[in-house]
Amino acid sequence: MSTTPPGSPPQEFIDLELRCPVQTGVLNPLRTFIATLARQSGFSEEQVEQIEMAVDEACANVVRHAYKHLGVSCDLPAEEQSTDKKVRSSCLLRLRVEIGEGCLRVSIIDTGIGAHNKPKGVESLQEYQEREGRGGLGIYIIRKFMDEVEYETTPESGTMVTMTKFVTPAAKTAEK
Amino acid sequence: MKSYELVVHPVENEADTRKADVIGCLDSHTVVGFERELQSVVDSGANVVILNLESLSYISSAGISALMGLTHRLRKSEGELYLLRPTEKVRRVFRTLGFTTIFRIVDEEAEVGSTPRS
Repeated sequence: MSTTPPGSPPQEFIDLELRCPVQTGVLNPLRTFIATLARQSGFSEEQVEQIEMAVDEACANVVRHAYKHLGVSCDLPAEEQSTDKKVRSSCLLRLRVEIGEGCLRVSIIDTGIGAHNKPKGVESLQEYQEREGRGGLGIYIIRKFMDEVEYETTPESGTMVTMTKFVTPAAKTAEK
Repeated sequence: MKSYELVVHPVENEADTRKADVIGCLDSHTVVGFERELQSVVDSGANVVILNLESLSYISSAGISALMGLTHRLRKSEGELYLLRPTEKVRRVFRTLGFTTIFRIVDEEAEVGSTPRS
């Protein structure tokens, strides 16, 4: 499998989309789904693990932050959680996967409050330690493990995080 | 299917030491229960905690943050958290992100108390 240069669209698209409820319980099956696709697309086991973890972190951010203003978040105590079925069913996490030659692109899309996924993560492990491990590691992981990361966010309209990984020679993996 | 379990074992002749097996995955779904159970372990008088990670199949930033929080709490009272035999997958995550320089990772229980951070 040859490598598509960064910036080029993947060729021979496989284009899949999942729509999931905003619950932490979807994270495990989503990891299994993306890892299976990545493995079948020719990524090394280490790259599969990195894609799996980056997707997990981006999806966890949606579950934690995107719909908190509507009372739908794993961070809210039970008494603050919305019990309105209409509200809960309107809160969706969409996972879009595009696979081309030597390239896998994942978009995690929500229609929540927006801006929650803009890069606010730590820049280094030292910064994370200085925060005593309180937050910012997920975005750091996404940036470290994926080759390209783009955020599109609009206040009150949601966020789309698009992450791309290329099947790369060992040398590129080693330099990261 | 249960996706996470913490099994705590008594440690003979070490009143301030607790050992526990972490089984399954530590992610945003399971970490709340994990942190609650860890807090119970610390509240029971533990100053040294050994977490056996040989059956931990996955760890996310939420799980790593829980381990960091416990490490900080224990070190403030001159205690320590030891991570025993992490799986190769979990070890790779620690190594790639740089956590092997922060956590005390050991392959044998005999190393507890004597292993400097690598």
